[in-house]
This record gives sequence, C-alpha cells and structure tokens, in this order.
Amino acid sequence: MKPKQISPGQMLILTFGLTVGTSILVTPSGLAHVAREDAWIASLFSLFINLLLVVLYIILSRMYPGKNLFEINEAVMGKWLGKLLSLLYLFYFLILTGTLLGNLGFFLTSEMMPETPIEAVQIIFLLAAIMCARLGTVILARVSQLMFPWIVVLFLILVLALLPQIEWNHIKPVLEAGPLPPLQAGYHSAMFQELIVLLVFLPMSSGGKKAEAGFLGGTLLGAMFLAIVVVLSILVLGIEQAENATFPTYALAKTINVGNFLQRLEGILITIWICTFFIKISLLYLALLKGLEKVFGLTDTRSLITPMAVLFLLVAWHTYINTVYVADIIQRVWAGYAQLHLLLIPLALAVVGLVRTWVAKRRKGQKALP
Amino acid sequence: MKGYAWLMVILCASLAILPGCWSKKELNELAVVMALGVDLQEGGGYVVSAQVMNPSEVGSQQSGLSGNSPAVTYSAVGKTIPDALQRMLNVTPRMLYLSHMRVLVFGEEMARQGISDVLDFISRNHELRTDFYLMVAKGMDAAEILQVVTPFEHIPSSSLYSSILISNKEWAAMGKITLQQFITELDQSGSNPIMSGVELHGDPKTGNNLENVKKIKPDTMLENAGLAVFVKDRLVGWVGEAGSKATNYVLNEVEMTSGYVPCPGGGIIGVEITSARSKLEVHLDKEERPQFIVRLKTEANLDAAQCSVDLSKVESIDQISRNLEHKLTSLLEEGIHEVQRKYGADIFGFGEALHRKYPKVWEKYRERWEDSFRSMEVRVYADAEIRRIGSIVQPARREMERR
Amino acid sequence: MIWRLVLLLLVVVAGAVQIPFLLKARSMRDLVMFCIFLGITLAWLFNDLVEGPNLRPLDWIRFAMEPLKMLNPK
Repeated sequence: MKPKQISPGQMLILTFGLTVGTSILVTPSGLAHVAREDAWIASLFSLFINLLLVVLYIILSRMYPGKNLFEINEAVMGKWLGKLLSLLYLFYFLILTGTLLGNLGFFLTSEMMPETPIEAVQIIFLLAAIMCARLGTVILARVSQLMFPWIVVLFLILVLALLPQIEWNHIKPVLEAGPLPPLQAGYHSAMFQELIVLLVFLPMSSGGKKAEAGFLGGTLLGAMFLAIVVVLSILVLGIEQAENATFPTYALAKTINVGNFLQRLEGILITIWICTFFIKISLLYLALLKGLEKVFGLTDTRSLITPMAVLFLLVAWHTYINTVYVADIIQRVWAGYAQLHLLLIPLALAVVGLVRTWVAKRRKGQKALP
Repeated sequence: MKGYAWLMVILCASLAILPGCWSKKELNELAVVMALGVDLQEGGGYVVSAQVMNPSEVGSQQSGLSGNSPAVTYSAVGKTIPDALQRMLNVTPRMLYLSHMRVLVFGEEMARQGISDVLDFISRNHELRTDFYLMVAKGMDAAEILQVVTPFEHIPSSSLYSSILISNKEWAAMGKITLQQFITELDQSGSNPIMSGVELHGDPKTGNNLENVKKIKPDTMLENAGLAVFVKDRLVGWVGEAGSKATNYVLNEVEMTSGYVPCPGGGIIGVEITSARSKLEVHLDKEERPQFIVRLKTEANLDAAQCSVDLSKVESIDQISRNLEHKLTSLLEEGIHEVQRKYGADIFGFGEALHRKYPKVWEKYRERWEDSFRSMEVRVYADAEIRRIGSIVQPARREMERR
Repeated sequence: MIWRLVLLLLVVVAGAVQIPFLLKARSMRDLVMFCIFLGITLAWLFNDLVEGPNLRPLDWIRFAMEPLKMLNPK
C-alpha cells in the first residue's frame, strides 16, 4: 500500500516543530555558559550547521529517491549491516524520547505545579502521543498545521512584549574572548537538533523538490526562533541571569510587563512549548515504529505502541533522575553521541553510496562496451 | 457521530475543570503575602516577617477600617528562610502564597551582614517573581517597618510599593530597585548594587494600631529615605538626598524632578526637569588609564520664580540654563565623588562601561575594582535647555515691584 | 512505586488485549516482536519493583562513548 502523502507545507511545519522542540527552553543557558555575550553568534552558527546537515540529508535522499532513513541504511550497507545501523538509530531515538519526556515532566513540576507527581504529567502527555501514533503521520501533519498559527502568534506576543525591556548594553562586549568560543558553542548546540528524524518522513512528502524546500525552510524557521530566544535572553535578562537559570526562556517570559497591565503571561506562553514538544515526541514515536517495521519486516506495528510507551516512561524515569545528573552527562557525552548519528554516519553513508554508484557505473560501462 | 459529539463535549468540559488539579490552590486556602521582611537572628539564622493581606477587610465596599486590620504581620525564626516560612505555619491559618509579593525589606543589620544567601532563596523559589522592590530599613529591623498601618492604601506594602513607583517617576531622590536589577548589578564585576531605603517616623508602638490612621496627621508614618550603597552584597553606607539624585541621574533613572537654581540678579528660580538622559563614556589616556565622562542632557520648565528677573528676555533664559547646567554638573560630580571616596563602590556602572568598550583593559582592573575606583577620574558634562516658562511671563515679584 | 504498578497493569492489559488479536492476524513476526517488547518491559518493571540494580541508559551511553572520546566536540 502506497503510504499517504504529506504536503511540503506540512513538512515545513513538522521540521519546525522538531527543531524547536524542547531546545527552546534550555538553549540560552547552555550557549551563555560557553559563549557569554556572544551566545547569539553561537546560535546563528548553530543554524548554519543545521542547514548544512539538512543539505547532507537531502543529498542522501536524492541518491536513493523514495527511501526513508532505514531503507537507505540497508541499500548502502547491505542488508545486515544496514539493519544494525538502523538499530543504532532506533536506540538513539528511544533514549532521546525518554530524556525529552523527563525534561518536560521536570519543567512542569518544578516551575508550575510542584505538588503534581512527575509521572502523572508524563503519562498524560504520553496518552496524547499514543493517540497520535495510532492515527499515523498524516494526522500528525494535520494537527501540527492546526497548531502552527498558535505557536507563531504566541511567540510574536512573547517577542513584542519583551521589546520594551531590552537593554542593548547587555550584549556588549562583543567577541571578548575571540571568535572561537561562540563557534564551539554553536557546533555543540547544533548536535541537539535531531533533524535526521525527518529523513524517515521525507519520502512520505509529496512534491520532490518542494518537500526538500519544506525541510530546509522548517529548519531555518525553527533555528531562527531559537536564535531570537537566545538574543532576547541576553538582551533582557543579561548574561548573569540567563546563564544561571535552569529554564531561561521561562524566566524570560516571567519578566514580561507591558505598562503594568500585561503581566504574568508565562502560563499562556507555555503553550508554545507544549505544542512543539508534542510534535517532536510524536515524530520520534512514529519514526521508531517505522524503523521497527523496516528492520524486522513487520506488517503492522500498532500492537507495539503500548509497550513502547511503557518503555519510554521507564527510560524517562531512569535517565532523568535529577537535573544535575542529566545536565552533567549531556554536557559531556551527548554531543559526541549525537554527532555520530547526525553527522558521521550520514556522511559515511553518502560517501559509501557515491562510491557504490561510481563502481556500478564503471561496471556497467565496461559491460556495455563489447 | 453522535457518540463523538458527546465525547467532545465531555472532554471540553473537563478541560475547563481538571488541568492542574493535583496542584490546585483554592483562594480561601491561601494567605497572600504582600511583603516579606528579613532580619538577623542572634546566633545565626533569620527572623522572617510576612505581611499577609486580610481579604475581607480589603475587598469590602464600605470603609474597610471599621473592624480588623487590613493586613496581618506574622514573624518566625529559622536557619534558612524556607525554614522560617514553614515554621510560620504554626500561626497562620492558611498556606503562605508568595507570588504577589510587592516589597522585600531587609533590616539594616541584616543588610550589613551580607544578603546573598537570602537572594539565593528568592531566586530559586519558583513562586517568587523578579518584579518586586527591594528596600533596606534604615536604622531598624524590617519587622518594625512591616508593622505600621498606613493611611490611604489599605495594605501597607501596597503603600510602600506605590510610593516607590510614583516618587521614582516624579522625584529623582527616590530609588527603585527590582530583584532583577539588583542581581544583575551584584553579579556583574563592574558595578555595585544599591537599594532604596525606608524609615519610620514616630513611635513604632503607635504605628501598630489602627488608631494611627484615624487622625488627620498620623503619629507614625513610613518615609522613603535615600539610597543604600552596597559593596558586593553588604551594605556599607547611605547616600542622602543630593547623592541619591546624582546617582539616579547617572543611572538614567530620572523621569521628572524638581529643583532650583540661582536667579540672575538675586533670588532663586524653581525648575522642573522634564526629561533627563545620561550616557557614560570611557576614554583611555596615554597610559591606558580609563577616564570616565558622564554626559547629561536635560530639558526643563520654569515652575516657580522667586526673584525679579525679566523673563521676557532671551538672555535671562540663557543665563538660567547655564546656572542649571552648573548646578547639575556640580551636583553629579559631588555625588559621584562622595560615593567614590567614602565607599569605593561603583554603583554607577563605570566598570561595566569599561568592560563593554575596552574588555582587555578591564581585565587589568577587574580583580580590585573597588580600590581602583576610588581614584578614577570622572567628569560630568551637563546640557540643559529651558523649554516652557508656565502660564505667566514675568515673575510675580517683578510685577509687584513695578507698581 | 505505585507508578510502576500502574504501568505493570497497563502492560498486562495491553498484552491480554493484543495477543489474541495478533494470533488471529497470523503474523509470526509481529507476535514475536510484541512478546519481546512485553518481555523487556515486564523484566524492567520487575527489576524496579524488587529494587534491583538501577539501570541507567545514560550511563551505558557514557560507557560506550569512552573509546570514542576523541570525537567529542568541545
């Protein structure tokens, strides 16, 4: 059965949702830590790196048109090695989802509802994601289309309401420690946008070139949102407080005060993050199901939805033990681990793929001669 | 399809009621804390006072002062602030809810000890926001400040809050420091924080009583009192009215204020400053030592002419402008030098200005900025323009003398 | 602890509902996969319920990345 199609516009929105995800909550402090006042340069560099990665994925996709990530793995590396590679990716996605779930739970319970047990928040969220996984990618694409205007409007409200509180002096001195720290910080932070996930869904998108444009456009839009948030965090909060906050964007939203009238809006603005988070988790969920389907040749993965949800929760409870443990490991290890999946393996696949086609062409050429 | 419709209705209805129900706080279970006071406890620890609003007295349409006090102040002791707040639950009938806090008052002794530990709790707690004002109780404990009934505003902390807000707008000698500002200035290596001061006039014992506000001139009143200068997180001293004005001018906090200058030909003439903008500049001299310049641009109106100068002549206005410029320049320079020499505290942000423009030079000074700052050269250039002279032209005295 | 029990209940119920469905659908692979997943989750839940060793996936990743440390971006 030919899978149903998602439009290029929906592809853009899905990419946007994935890029923003939960990164929007925590990137400013991570970048501010290393790059200080130049965190905005770092986030722009991160945007640039992400665009390059997406170009790599598109090249890979064009070499094997119509194939999603897992199929490409098998096509390039052969059946068994390809399946092994796909399993690596699936494990990566699994840990990612668990950590994300933990992140959301911790955010909501430490800032808004401390009496609520984390597990309750996570289970309710997962219920929504389960429903989405059962219904499929197309439904997710349509839901995200519905959510998109709200995300944009609320974000604009956030930005516009903060403009009166900008202190331009906060961003100086520029490049105090030289250009290296922002570049390093930017590259590090680019490893946290898991755009490879969309390579699972790219073939499902109609329009060929337009779908690729949607992929790129979504990345651009999402990374721009992140860059704007980083810039505002520095300009409004100042570097000392942006660096020390556990959830800097939330602290940013708390400072909104227009004419002593429009204040205490942070509760409504959480909607932005809930929506983008939902998109990200549902995409990961669907990607995992698709991956399992491909690797093990299953006919229908719907039965696996519930056990997967339980697995997500277990991973979440065992990774997000407390914010310090997670922050420490993620700071030290995750970038390298993610780099493997986001850059090194796709690059290797592209190179091997190119070599294979080149060899095949030469063989064809030789065969055609006599 | 009908089943779906019912499901939607039920879901939407539950959406209105259920969210956050685990963490629900009903309004009649909350004691809304309007002001917090922190004092030192002998032997370590804090005495925390919380002024809680009494909603039945505040919300009523009739005169709320017939009956109970509009606010109640509870006190408790603890090794940490949350410790003290929990212990307060021994006395309070409801849970303390901190999100609506307007004012945080430190006792003077507490402020001299160092307040960074208190600030940690304030920043870490998720209920507290960053938009309340910080003040130091001059020469007394914060608890005494929170035990005064104020006229006009039912809740004393609202009165404190409004008086800071309004007077900062209209009168340059009043400082307005939010938590956000304080922490930024504290953490920045190139500046030192300040806080507004508040003091009690009269007898604290009578201030405690509702009778205090039943008189036309209350016996006990709260008054805003200058600025408190901090070096790092410790209070080191106070700045009086002139110094506070100077500080506010340099910090670009002045919106409107009033003053007077000498009138050409004797007497004084009152001026109302309607706009004031200041910029800090840094230049390096030949030996790479920083020189600071404050450029102040003001616009003013004449509001009280207590002399007999001829105000229809351009020369008079020019002369008055120049007098104003002189006055501002000397006011600012004296104010800055006083703080410089007496406390060595860079409450104006000169160090930060140096950091922003010449980061490499700043590295040399950053470790011991408080000491270096004492001998830094600061010059002020003030520029004043008189715009309007009011509804009459010639001063009343002049008209009378002309008769 | 109560949350682990909630999940246990969920897994058991899901298993009870899905297995006859899968048997009817006659796909061996789906059934095997489902049972494997069920097994993993049940094993993990039991491990938690009897207070066995705390499994931490992030530690596994850190362990696995040890030999590849030179690749780590700063």
